[in-house]
Amino acid sequence: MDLASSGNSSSKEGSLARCFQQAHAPVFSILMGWGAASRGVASLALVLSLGLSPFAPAVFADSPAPSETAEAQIEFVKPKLSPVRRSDLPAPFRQEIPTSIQDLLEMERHVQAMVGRASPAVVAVRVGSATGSGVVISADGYVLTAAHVSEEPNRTVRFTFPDGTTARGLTLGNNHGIDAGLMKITDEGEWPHVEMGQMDQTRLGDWVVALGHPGGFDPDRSIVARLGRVIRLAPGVIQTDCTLLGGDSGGALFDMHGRVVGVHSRISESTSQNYHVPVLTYLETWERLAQGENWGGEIPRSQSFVGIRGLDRAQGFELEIVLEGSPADRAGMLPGDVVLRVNGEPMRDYSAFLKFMGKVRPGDELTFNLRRDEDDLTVQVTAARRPRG
Amino acid sequence: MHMLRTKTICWLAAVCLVIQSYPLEALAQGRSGRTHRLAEDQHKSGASILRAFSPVAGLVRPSVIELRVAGDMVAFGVIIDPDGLAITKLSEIREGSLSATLFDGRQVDAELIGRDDDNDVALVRINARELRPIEWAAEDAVVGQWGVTPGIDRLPEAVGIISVPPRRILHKRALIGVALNFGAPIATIREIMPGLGAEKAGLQVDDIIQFVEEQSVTTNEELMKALREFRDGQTVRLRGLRGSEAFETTVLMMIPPPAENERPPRHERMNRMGGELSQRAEGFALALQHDTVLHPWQCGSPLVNLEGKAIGLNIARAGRVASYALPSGLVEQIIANLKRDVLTVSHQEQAH
Repeated sequence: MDLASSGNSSSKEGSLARCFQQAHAPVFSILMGWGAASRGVASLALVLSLGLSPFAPAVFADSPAPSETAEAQIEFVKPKLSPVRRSDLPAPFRQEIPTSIQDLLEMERHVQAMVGRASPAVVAVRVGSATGSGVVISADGYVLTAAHVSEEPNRTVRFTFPDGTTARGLTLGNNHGIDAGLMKITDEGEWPHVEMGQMDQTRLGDWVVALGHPGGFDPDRSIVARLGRVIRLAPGVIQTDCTLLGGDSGGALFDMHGRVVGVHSRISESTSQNYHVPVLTYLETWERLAQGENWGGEIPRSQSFVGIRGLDRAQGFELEIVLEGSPADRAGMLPGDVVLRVNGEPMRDYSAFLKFMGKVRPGDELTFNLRRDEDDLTVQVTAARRPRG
Repeated sequence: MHMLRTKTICWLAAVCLVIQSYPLEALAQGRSGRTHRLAEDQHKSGASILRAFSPVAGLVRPSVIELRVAGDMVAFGVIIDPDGLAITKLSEIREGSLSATLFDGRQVDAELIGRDDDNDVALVRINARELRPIEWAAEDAVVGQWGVTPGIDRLPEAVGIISVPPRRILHKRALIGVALNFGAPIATIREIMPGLGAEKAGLQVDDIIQFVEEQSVTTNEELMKALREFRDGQTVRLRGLRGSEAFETTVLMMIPPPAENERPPRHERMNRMGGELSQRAEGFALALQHDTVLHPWQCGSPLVNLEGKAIGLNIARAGRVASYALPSGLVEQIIANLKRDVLTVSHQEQAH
């Protein structure tokens, strides 16, 4: 389930439809994932040089002259990437597990200070009737969020900082395939901000803190902190046991350096199934996001659907989401099943499935060959018409 | 050729980097090698992590009891007095024979002797002496601080961090069962909803409400705000005008039952993803929020800091991201009131 918190609670159909859209948004190919980590440095250089181009500010009616903005962007990109070393972290964070009260005390002091430093940069966002979260990563107000919060470029956004300060701004680009979105505060100001992390340093077992606005912005409560560990790294996604909820979408996952390493995206049933967009993707596609490009959702959408979303595997794709009540759900497909073939056609990856669905008509019988744990299963699913909305 | 070599080196470097970013033991654990997952015992609340907290749990467990109704565990309790007084989460103590299990395995009879419905706290007397009462922390809990939930075992039940400082948690909105006329400048009833308190109390369309208990209300907003203070099952006395006549009535506040086949709204379905929630999870004068994943029956336990002092009383599993604990300062007040009430009652009984 994605984590947008719809302001209009009566639009059950609308949010459900959004769920279905999500289900059919393609995920990134493996290339964009961990294999790409090593290309980080090269991509950063690209971001730097492209930051000079004048197109970025084009969407802002009240933006300063392009040359000024370009300078501001150099300034913005450069300091964000000052190197950090794991050896800078207190020892317990570098161990497999804490083993003493002393370790726990050291972790506690560090987490408290880190949450205090990071919180002022985490904002609640309101776009249309949807609310979510975001994180400010530059003094001039660039805000990372989830694509399903901002949805499309050039929409008006209202930002609320934890101290109650509000600001206006706009949505910029979105990569719907991986659920990465960018926003910009357009009001003048020096905004509280945090740095982005270097994803190639993120490891399984890293301790992380999630900040955001679960359930939407609540002035009596403000920001909510959760601690957890990185429990899975897969192409295009970080999974943690920091529990998330609707309204957290677009909020930030921080490493123990206090840097953003992920952006909250979606959840599944278990409290250890919380998914975050890796921050690397924002850096790699910075210029596309900053110039307001909207992509990743434009694979021609089939009129038929079965109600699943997958993550690429070495062979086939693993079901990450099976929508409740969908044809796939009724046929007994489960998250974690790996789809190998549909109607005899091998499914190389999830995008192959999306392409395949382009040819499927509502009512068509589909035969899925699945692997569940060690067993091979065959499941019959009747494609339905995509719900409207 | 040269370029090709550079490419190959880059590719090799990439592969090395990727592999380096996974600890080797994790690679070995990956199911059939296709994914790399952190072993479950190393999750935040996994057994290996809980072990680090065992000195804290060990220190506190003599002050914790398991409460059972007809043999089934329903909640934990916290010992507050050496002579057998404990507190727990009131709404989990259902009708039936109550008993307590101590850290040393003793099983003793227990009896509910006092209740604070407002904060859902029960005072319980257990048939045991020379117990070790919990120590309440003097300082307020800080966001990011560890919160340990000890049971009666050497390992804690669960751990988490403080997510939000203490705040008031409003109870679930209960209704008198009317629709108001929002065009009117004064609080006026437009419609009576069937089956709820207003209908039974005989409220009528066009009635004007002027008082909620002793509080005067003028606008619809003021009326709604005043009614927000009352929870499901409470009654509220309303006074106002029916035509030119003054009227007074007492209305039962209710939460309308969901219509059959109605799916709960999406945000509520999400909130329930990840486990069962406490029946009573709203309506506390003050509660701090922590991210410990608790089961409803794990409430009534103390929430302690690394020194083993209680920063709160676990009072509700409220959602996927939220457990609530009444902060120590409030709990101490509640205890004082409960003890005073019980003492007053026993004095009165003696007088008779």
